[in-house]
Amino acid sequence: MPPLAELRLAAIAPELILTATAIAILMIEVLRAPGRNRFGSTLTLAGLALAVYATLAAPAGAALEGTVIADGLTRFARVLIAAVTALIALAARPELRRAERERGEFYALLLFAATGMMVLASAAELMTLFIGLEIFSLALYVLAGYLRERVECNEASLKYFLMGAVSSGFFLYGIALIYGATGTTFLAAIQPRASDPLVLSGAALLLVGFAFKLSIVPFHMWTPDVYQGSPTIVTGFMTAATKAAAFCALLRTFRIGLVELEPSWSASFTILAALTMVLGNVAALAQRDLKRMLAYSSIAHAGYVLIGLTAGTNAAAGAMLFYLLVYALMGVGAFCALAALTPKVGDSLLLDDLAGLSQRRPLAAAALAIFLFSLTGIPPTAGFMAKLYLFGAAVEAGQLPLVVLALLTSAIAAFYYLRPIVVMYMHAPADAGLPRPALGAAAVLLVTALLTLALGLAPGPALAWATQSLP
Amino acid sequence: MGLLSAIIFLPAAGAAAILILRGLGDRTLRAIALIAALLSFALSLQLFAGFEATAEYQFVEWRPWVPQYGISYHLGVDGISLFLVLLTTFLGWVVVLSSWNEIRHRVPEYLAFLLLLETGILGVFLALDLVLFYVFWEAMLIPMYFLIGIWGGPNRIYATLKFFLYTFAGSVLMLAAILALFAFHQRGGGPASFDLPLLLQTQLDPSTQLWLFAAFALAFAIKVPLWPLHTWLPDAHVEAPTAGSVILAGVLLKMGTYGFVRFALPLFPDATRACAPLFLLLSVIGILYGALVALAQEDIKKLVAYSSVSHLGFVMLGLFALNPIGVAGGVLQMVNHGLSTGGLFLMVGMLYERRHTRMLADYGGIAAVVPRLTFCFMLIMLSSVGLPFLNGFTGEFLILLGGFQAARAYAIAAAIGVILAAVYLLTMFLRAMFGPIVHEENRKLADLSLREAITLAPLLLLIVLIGVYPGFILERLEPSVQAFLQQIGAP
Repeated sequence: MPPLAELRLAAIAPELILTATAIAILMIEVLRAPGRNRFGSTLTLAGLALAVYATLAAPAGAALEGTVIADGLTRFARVLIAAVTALIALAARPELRRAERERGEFYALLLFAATGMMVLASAAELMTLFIGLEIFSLALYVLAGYLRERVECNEASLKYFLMGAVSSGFFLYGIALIYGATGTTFLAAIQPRASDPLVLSGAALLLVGFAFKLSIVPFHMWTPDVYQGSPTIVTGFMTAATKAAAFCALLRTFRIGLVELEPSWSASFTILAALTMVLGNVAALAQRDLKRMLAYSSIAHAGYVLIGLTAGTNAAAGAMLFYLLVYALMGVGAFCALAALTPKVGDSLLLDDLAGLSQRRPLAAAALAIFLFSLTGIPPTAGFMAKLYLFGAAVEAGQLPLVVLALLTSAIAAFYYLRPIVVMYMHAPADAGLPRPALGAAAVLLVTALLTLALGLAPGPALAWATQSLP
Repeated sequence: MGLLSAIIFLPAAGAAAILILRGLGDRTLRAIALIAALLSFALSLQLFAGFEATAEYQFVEWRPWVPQYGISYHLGVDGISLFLVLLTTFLGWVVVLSSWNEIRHRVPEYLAFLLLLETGILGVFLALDLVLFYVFWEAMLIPMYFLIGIWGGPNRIYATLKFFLYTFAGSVLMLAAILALFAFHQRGGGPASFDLPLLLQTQLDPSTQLWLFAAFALAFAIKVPLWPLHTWLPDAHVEAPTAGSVILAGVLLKMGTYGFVRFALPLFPDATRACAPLFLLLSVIGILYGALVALAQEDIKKLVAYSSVSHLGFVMLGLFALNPIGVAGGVLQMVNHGLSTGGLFLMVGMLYERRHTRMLADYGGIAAVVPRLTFCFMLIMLSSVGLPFLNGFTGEFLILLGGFQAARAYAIAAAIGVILAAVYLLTMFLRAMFGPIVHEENRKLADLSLREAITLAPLLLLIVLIGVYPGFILERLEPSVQAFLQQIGAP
């Protein structure tokens, strides 16, 4: 083993900080007040803030003998994941209290998941990638079943676990094939020997593994059930953070590691993107359960993001990162709004439950409307700008037909995104009122809604950050 | 901040103030809305005073917005947009005043959406960057969607969804075309930019032009609405509250015709010349179809809505005549239609407030009961018919003249539309206002109130002014029309 200094641990300081915080939360709970935890969310936020600081302060370059790399993409992913985790932790607190389940393990699992996602996004080697994938997946399996007395929750957890196990199998087999052909698992070292047919099959299997995690059609079957069954706040975390981390890793693997194979995989990405957009949007039309509807919408958005990869240019990759950032905001916001408005934690909200919400809870309704308009892609929200750059870059790269398809599906999407707004603003209020969002949730809604508007009006700085994050 | 920005964003600032001060009581909030709209109108009068009759864009504002992608905040006004801006800011305060008593629930939101709508429309008329234009073009859907959906009639949700989805679906392909145009411009060696004056120089081969033109034209034709894409309009009009209908007919439809003049035609001149016969044909069909359907209506509001389809056909006929007289007439008629059809919807709203019905059969003989209202209604109706010395005449006359030069048969067919317009409007007016009083309720109707008189007086004044002296518009219009035709390469 090399001396400690050569490992350059400073480069992975954020992951270390988060792990330490998670362990500290668990220990404090055990030692001080079993079953109750007053420090969980505060410590989580502090740990995340420290991790962001460490990310920005950490030196660039490879670490741990080249298995991990701290570059712009890593930095982007770490900051985004930390921000999403912080927002979720803030909004989760009142939810957990309402369910009388505020335990340290929730925050610890959240932090472990965030750690795994960061490892995934910064891995420069396939085994490390796999370990990152497994860390965050395991944490998410437990979080999905966090409300363990609920049957739906258990079902979601089990389903997610089984599907996750299958996808891990694909992933590992892909790594094995690539290792067999090239004798290495380092992304940078695969490239010169990428023309081997074994590498091609390995890459295909890796893609399947990623497609499971990103719920890309036809590997999306688990998504609606898991998203619906999991606690709403956890669903928000899954949709925003998982997508960010896994797409960053996908970008790194295919745009950097297997870039030689681009002609082979870009065609399959095109097909996957087209299928995903069409199926996600069309299936969402039929949903009356809002969580399920947003689950299909998240599938559709994964399809849009994939367009960025099919284009295969740096501009498109930058636009893709910007899209991930914007989607994280909208996704966290929309799911937090649903969570905070649900009378009983863990239940689903139906479309008609929102009737007349704008008169009972004007601010929550306005925030949810902003997220929905943004998901549709209507200016002046961030969702429009994200689509504009992504589609613009794709058109420049000659992907006009795919962009036309994407725009047509987003016109279909307008139909289901507008329906909750109709119900909230144009129907008479329902008899049973929905709860008032608690302070933490309200703060998250305010921040995400304002940022969604701000990034729609002044996207320049965030876009520049996303573009410069590319290696 | 420049004058144009101030005009655009004053209403939005008013909307923000209203939402923040929502506790103040409806009267105060209405006053705030009125002041914001009046201020915006006052500034646009200043714009009118400072405007010079040249083809150049004036009062230009330019600053980078998203420099990485060549998106800029580029505003400017020329002879064509000047009058549409004036029309918008004018109708802006008129509708606040007209809905003073009509809207009684959720007043703060109502006023805020009305003002935001005005901001969106003004932005469309003043933007010279394609992305900025598209942002305003789409953003304006949101307030209109709420205005129809919350304060509309019984079938409002169907109408508002239809309106939104129709226009949104029509616009997404335009976005694809804008992105493609951007890419072609760059491929041709130009800088990465969405700036309209720069993109006008893009050289495109005719088949590419045709595709892009089709995408733009679809979005604009739905908004106009050009036959056979008009089916959303009657629903939206009938269900919308009065202010919504006035804005819809008065300025929102002009966004479509303006889009043709400002973007679709000049950007793709070859495709324009190739497709002009088709558009002339559709315009004439729309003129006759709208008029014939209007003839059969029993609902006054529906009648006026279909008359819009017919009248907008005239505007399109003038624009696609592609000669100076026709285009000038078309642009002039945009303003005229805004005044007269906006006025007609105001009158329908006033009648509805008194009788709570829009059916012709429920009226009759009320001219003696409400003489002042009848006089105003008559003047507005006659302006819509196109009586000489009222505004509608000049526009239609120029359009027919231009149309006659371009395509004789179409102009003759369109002239039949003028006659039909006289028939359905005069019949409607006769049935509503004259004859014996058959319903007892109609004997006690109140005549115009002071507020209503103030709302209508400037409108009537303009109708007469433009009818007697259209020169003050045409002389400012002419250089821009010449420049427009030069860009298209029309004779």
